[in-house]
Amino acid sequence: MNCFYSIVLSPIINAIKNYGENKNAFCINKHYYSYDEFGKNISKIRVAIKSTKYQNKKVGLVINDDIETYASIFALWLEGDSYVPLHPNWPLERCVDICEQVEIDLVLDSSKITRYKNIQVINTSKLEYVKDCLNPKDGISEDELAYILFTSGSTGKPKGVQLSRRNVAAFMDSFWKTGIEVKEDDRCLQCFDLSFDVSVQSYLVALTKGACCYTIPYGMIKYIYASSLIEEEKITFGAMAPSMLRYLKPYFGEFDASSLKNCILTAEACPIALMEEWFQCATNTEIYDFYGPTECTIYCTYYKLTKGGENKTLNGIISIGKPLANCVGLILDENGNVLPVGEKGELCIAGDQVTKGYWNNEEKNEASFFIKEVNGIQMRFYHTGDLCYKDADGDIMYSGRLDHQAKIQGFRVEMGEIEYHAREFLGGTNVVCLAFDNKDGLTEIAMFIEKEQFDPSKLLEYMKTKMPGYMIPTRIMYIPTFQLNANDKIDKRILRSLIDK
Amino acid sequence: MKKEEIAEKMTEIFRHIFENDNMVLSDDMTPDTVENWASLTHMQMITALQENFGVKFSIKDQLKLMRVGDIISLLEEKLG
Repeated sequence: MNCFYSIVLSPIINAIKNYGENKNAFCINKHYYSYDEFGKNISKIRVAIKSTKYQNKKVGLVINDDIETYASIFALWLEGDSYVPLHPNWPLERCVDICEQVEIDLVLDSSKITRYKNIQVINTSKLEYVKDCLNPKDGISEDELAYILFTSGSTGKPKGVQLSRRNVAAFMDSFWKTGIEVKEDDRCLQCFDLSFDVSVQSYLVALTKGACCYTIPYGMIKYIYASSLIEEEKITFGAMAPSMLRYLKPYFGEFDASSLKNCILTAEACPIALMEEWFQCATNTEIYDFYGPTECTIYCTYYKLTKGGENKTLNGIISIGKPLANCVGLILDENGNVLPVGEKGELCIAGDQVTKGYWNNEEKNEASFFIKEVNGIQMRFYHTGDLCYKDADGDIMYSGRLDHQAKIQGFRVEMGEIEYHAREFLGGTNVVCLAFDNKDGLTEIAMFIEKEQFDPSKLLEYMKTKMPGYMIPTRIMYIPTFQLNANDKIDKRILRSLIDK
Repeated sequence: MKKEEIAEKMTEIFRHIFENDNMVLSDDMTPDTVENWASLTHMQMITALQENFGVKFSIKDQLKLMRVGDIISLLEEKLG
């Protein structure tokens, strides 16, 4: 298989050398940067890093939306180092906690004034280009890290997922084996924060093919800016969250999305109804549903939708398809046994894309990974916590989080199923159901409807015709618009906090 | 409708959406300077502006609605 150098670094170095000033690598806030300028930015930062004394190869990176930030990633990778994103809009306390957890002793920051006082900082926007410095350091192991992403932890402290060069190389190899083509004249959307891993796919797919990467500046309303980029810059490839399309839905038809050739939907469950409408707007596009937890390097399964034809769904949610080339995906029961076709269990993922673990968190690592023998080979699996089943073709159907399954009066209940029936009756309105234990210790179901308050009696009547009584929600709350979290997913924690037990 | 009337009505809408009863609007306010002005609140703001002023904003109009001063100008234009 390809190594990190051959599938990530070498193609980008070649693009810089071959395209120079003749092709753009980035469009950031309406400013174009050629591959030559991108290369010079990498070089100036690499030179500065080389002349700095630091111990820890895990380097903090303030993720501003500018050329220096993107160039910093490659300067660090050429040097054999990894980046740890520090968001400029996160509370400083959270960022400092991350720095302390990883014992970061160097931060790259392009901000005018840095927020980091007690750590060595290189101000990358003040550096001048002097000479090329694009040759990768020799002898960097594939096990060295490429990045660490911190996600919220159940204990309140953010937890860091470590992704190695081997993980990223395996991901890129898997990605190209899906058959998706990106060429040098493509224009690719990068609409994810650099603290979220789909950003890595977004910039790598563009840059390794010599294409141009279009970012969304902070302070812009994402869905509006993205729609203008798609129309005005004639974006040809992009990964986006279904939520972004949900915001854009009232305007489908008002902007021209016919330039889009390939569109990836990811980061949350993908409803078929929304995709059918998107097909009407993005008339020339192939749509793919990609699934994957950060722990398995961006994506680990995918499903290609058929326009105007039958698509596999479960409760209105599109199948997440089959594992990528470098992933093994099994549906296991609670005892780790492989379940037969059609039976629901936990999706567990193995292969070269699986992280070596959470940074400095033995307890969590112990609980999240396990070894299982498959066809005589010992494989290390990750518990995704996602409830799925495989159909006879091997396509995986997503049924919700394991923790969205509840036992009500002893019966197993899937929140996804309740949501589906409510959504059907309400004509596609967003519905979220959460199980909670009331003050009497009994499990109840709260249903949140994204709508102004209305008389729910007809809805409940309908639902009672579809499901046994114990599955009918006992609390109904109306929220005009669901709030999204930083990753553009419906923020279920906020909804949960509204439940008056 | 006069600029002052528009600004007054808009202040009410902004105070409600951004849950800040003391908010005072100025032309140069943007999503960058107003806490919580993001996709969700923007969509709520557009809906409220459309309902209160009886106008319709296209997605292209909305690209120009990233600054309070520009929202007022566009409303003035639409309301004649």
